[in-house]
Amino acid sequence: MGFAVALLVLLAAACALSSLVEQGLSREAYTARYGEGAASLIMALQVNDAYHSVWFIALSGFLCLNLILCSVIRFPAFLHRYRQEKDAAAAIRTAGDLGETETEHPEAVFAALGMTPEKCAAEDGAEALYASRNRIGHWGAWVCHVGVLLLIAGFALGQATLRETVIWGIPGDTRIMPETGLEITVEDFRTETREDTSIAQYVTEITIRDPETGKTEKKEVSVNNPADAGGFRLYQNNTGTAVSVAVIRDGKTLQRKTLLPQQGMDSVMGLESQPEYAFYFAGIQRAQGEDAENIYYFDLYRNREPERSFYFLGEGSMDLGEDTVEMTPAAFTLLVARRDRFAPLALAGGMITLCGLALAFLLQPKALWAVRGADGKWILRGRCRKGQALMKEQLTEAAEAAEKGEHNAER
Amino acid sequence: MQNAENILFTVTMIGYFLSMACYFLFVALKKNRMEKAGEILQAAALLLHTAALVLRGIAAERLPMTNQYEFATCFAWALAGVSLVFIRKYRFPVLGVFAMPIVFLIMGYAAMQNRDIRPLMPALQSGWLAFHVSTAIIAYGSFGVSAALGAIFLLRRKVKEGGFLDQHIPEESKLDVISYRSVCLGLLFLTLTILTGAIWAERAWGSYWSWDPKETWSLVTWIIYAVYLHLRLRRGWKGRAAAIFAVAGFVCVIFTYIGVNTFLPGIHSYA
Ligand code: HEM
Repeated sequence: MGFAVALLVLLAAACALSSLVEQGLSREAYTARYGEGAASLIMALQVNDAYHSVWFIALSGFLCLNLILCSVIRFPAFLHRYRQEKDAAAAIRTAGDLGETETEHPEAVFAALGMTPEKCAAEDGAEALYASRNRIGHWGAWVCHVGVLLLIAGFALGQATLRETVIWGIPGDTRIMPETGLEITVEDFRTETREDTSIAQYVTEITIRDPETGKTEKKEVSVNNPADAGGFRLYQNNTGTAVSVAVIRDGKTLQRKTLLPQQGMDSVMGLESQPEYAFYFAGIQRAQGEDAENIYYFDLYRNREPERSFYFLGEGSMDLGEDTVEMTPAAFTLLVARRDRFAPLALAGGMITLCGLALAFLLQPKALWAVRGADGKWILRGRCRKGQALMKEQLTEAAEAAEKGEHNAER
Repeated sequence: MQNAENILFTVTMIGYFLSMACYFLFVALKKNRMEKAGEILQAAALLLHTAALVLRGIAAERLPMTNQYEFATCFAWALAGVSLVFIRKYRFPVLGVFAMPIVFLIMGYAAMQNRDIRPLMPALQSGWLAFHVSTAIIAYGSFGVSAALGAIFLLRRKVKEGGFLDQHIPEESKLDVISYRSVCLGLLFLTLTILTGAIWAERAWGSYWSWDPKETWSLVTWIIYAVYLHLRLRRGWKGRAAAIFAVAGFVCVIFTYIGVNTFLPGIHSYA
C-alpha cells in the first residue's frame, strides 16, 4: 500500500514534468531551447519521448503488478467485510465506531436513518435490533482497481499493436490500404463553409472496394464522424492543396498522378512515355493581395539532373516532346486509418473504474444496532467507516427527535 | 432572445451580489435572518441564471458550454448550485461567505468575455462536448468546495470558542467528512470527464489519448486525488493533513483549468 502510493506519486510527478518539456523534438532543438547540458540529460533520460520511455513503462508495469497482487491478496478481505455486514450476531458484539446513544424508541431512530432493522438476540439473550445498508459499497475499491488494471492493459496492448496509415488524395484518386488490401477511392471532397465564411465541416466521400470479392461500399467521412473499413477506422484529419498532373498524347491521357509539395515520393512523378523526364513539385507560395492565386513551383529533371524550374498560377500546361503535361491544382483530403484492437478493452476498463468509484463513494456501507439493557432502555451502536462524524450527528438528532416525538404524543 | 439573456444575466449578477452581502451581514451582525435572506437570494438568482442559460441554449441550438464566456458562466452556476446544496444539506451558511464571492468573481470574469453566439469549428461539433464540459464543471465545482472546506477547517482553530462563528461552523470532524465527500464527488466526475473526453477525442482526432498537456494534467489531478483517498483510508490522513491536501489538490485543478492553456499550448488550446 505504501509502495502503491509511492508509485502513484512518482507517476504523477513523471507526467507533470514531462508535460513541461515539449515531446518529440530533436537533440538540436532541445540544445537551442535549454542548452547543451539539459539537452544531454533529456536525451539520456528519454524525456524527449517520456511516455514511451523505459522508465515510464516500468513504472506503469509496477503499478499493474501492484494492482494485480493487491486485488488477489485482498479479495478474501473484501469478501469477509461484505459478509460480515450481514452477520448481525457478530456485529452486535462489537462496540462499533459511533459511540453509544441511548434511546427509548429505537424503531423511530432506525426509520429516521432510512434503515429497516431485523430482530435478533444478544449473547446474553437480550433483545436486539440490527440493520445494515449499502453493503455492496464494500466492493467499490476492488472493482475500481480491476477497472484501472484493465484500462492500463487495454492502453498498453493497444499501443503495442497499433496500426496506422494515411490515405490522401483528390477526387478520382484510388489508394490501396495496407494490410487490408482494400481499394479506397476518393469520390468527392468538400470544405463546407457558413455564411460568415467560417468552416462548418470537411467532408470526404469514399468508395471502398474489396478486390477479392468485388464488393463496393460508399461511405462519408467528416470530422467527428469516422468510417469503418476492414477493421480500420478512417478519420478526416487534414486538407491542403495538391496538383494533379496529367500526361496527354493525341488527346488521350497516358498517365495521371496527384502530387503534394515537398513530400518525398509523393512530390515526384516520372514520365512513363519519356522515362528520362521527371517532375518534382517544389512548393506553393501565396501571392500577395486579396483573391490572389497561388503560385506553384516545379522542377523538371532529365536523367536525374535538374534541367529547369518553372512555375504557374491557376492551371499550368507545358509541351514536352510529343506530350502535353497539364497541371491542375485541387484540394486534397487526408484520412488517417487506424486500427486499435484493444480500445474496447480500455473503454471497458474505464467504465468499470467509474462503476467502482460510484460504488465506493455513493454507496457507503453503514450498520446500526440496538441492544436492550436491563433497565428497558436501548443502547444504539453502529459503524460507518467513511463517514462517522456525519452518521453520529444523524444518530444523535434522530434520537433527540424520537424523544421529543414521544413527549408530544404524551401531551 | 439575446437581449432577454443579457437582462437575465445582469439580474442574476445583482442577485448573487445581494446574496453575498446577506451572508457577510449574517456573519458581521450575527443575525440569523440575514442568512435566510442570503439563501433565498442565492436560490432565486440560481433560477434566473438557469433561465439565462436555457435561453442561450435555445438561441444557439446547442448546450451553452463551448467558449470562455459560456464555460465561465456555467462554472459559476455549478458552484452556486453545489454550494447551495451543501449549505442546506449540512446547515452550513458560513460556506456562503466563502462560496458567493468566488461565484461573483467568476460571473465578473464571464461578463468581460465576448458573448456573441458563434458557430463551432468542426472538431467541436459533437454531442460528447456537452457531456465532457458539463462533467468537468461539476468536478471543478466539487473540488473547489472541498478546498473551501479544507480552508475553513484550517482556520477553524482561530475562531473564538462558544462565539457566534463557532456555533455556525460545523465541528472539525464534520468539516473533514464533508470535504472528503466533496473530493469523492469531484473524483467521480473527473473520471467521467476524462472518459467522455477520451471517447470524443477518439472520434474527433482519431486517438483517445495523445498525452496532450491538458489530458496529462487532468490525469495528474486524478492521481493526486487517488493518493488522497489512499492516504485517508489506509494511513488515517484525516483532519489537518487532509485539509491541506484538499487545498493543494485544488491548486492542481486550477492549473489544469487555466495554467495549461496559458503555459502549455496543445490541441486543447481553444477550450
Ligand atoms: C498500485 C496501485 C494501487 C494499489 C495497490 C491500491 C490499493 C488500495 C487499497 C489496499 C485500498 C484499501 C481498500 C480498502 O481496504 O477498502 C484502496 C482503496 C481505494 N483505491 Fe486503490 N490502489 C491502487 C491504485 C488505485 C488507483 C489508480 C485508483 C484510482 C482512482 C484507486 C482507487 C481507490 C479507491 C477509490 C479506494 C477506496 C477509497 C475510499 O473508499 O475512500 N486505487 N486501494
